[in-house]
Amino acid sequence: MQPQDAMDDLKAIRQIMERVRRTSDGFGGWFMVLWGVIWFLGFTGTHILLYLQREDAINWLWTPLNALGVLGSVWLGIRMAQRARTKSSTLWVPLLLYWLALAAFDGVLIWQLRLYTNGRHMALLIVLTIALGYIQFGLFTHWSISAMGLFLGLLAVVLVTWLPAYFNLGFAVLGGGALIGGGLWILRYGG
Amino acid sequence: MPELDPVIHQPTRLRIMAALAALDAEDRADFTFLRDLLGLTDGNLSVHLQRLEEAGYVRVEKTFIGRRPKTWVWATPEGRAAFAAYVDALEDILHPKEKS
Repeated sequence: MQPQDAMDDLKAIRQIMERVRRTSDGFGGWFMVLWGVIWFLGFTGTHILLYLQREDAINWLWTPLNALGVLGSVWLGIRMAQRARTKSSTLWVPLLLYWLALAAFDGVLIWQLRLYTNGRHMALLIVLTIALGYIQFGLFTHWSISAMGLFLGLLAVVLVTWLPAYFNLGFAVLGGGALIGGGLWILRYGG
Repeated sequence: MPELDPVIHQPTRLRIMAALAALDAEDRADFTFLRDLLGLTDGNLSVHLQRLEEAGYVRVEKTFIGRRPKTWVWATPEGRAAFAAYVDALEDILHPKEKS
């Protein structure tokens, strides 16, 4: 084999390996878009209901939205597994169980600490837990997921500390928007 | 002149091994993904995978996800080692003075 042939082969190898790495399934992208939309609707609705002094209706807003999110996540997981390009992308069940475990953890805290008496504290706990989940998950997958978690956590602290009146609206636009934008970024560039 | 593995030296098989080596060690590629990535037909890819499987460089597993059939392909440790040795051999051809 001549050096020119070796160079051509090495170039072809690098191109293929790069293409494989770039054409990841973007497994988390659709989940982030789904939950970004749910957060946008939920937090916007919460802001409006609080403005209308209809706190009693907030649970009726979030319960179907969360149910929609869980059902949507299961549907997405099955669909992704069927269309997966790599086997690692079919492993959505452990991921779902991980998030359900975090939800159960939050449920116990909300119940035992009676956080349900203060909607903002309850929302803060849930948001911080989700942020922690993203940070942890990103440590095992891609730095961009951890960055998203860090952003959501910092956003929650900033809003609740300095702009409490705009916590829900801020989270609808910036939190939900970041999830949607991050999800679309992963779908476009891989993650 | 370094010796080149004749199994991997064939251009299509070299591209298949490159694609599989790009995955994490424990990961597997879908047959149709490989086929589309490399621009091959089902038959062509099958023939080359069979040759690589005979050499012990790849494994092929047919399974179902729900009702959909899935064929997973992955490089064995021997296959990864052979591919790495092949890339080293190419580097030796390009830069013979840099390696003893």
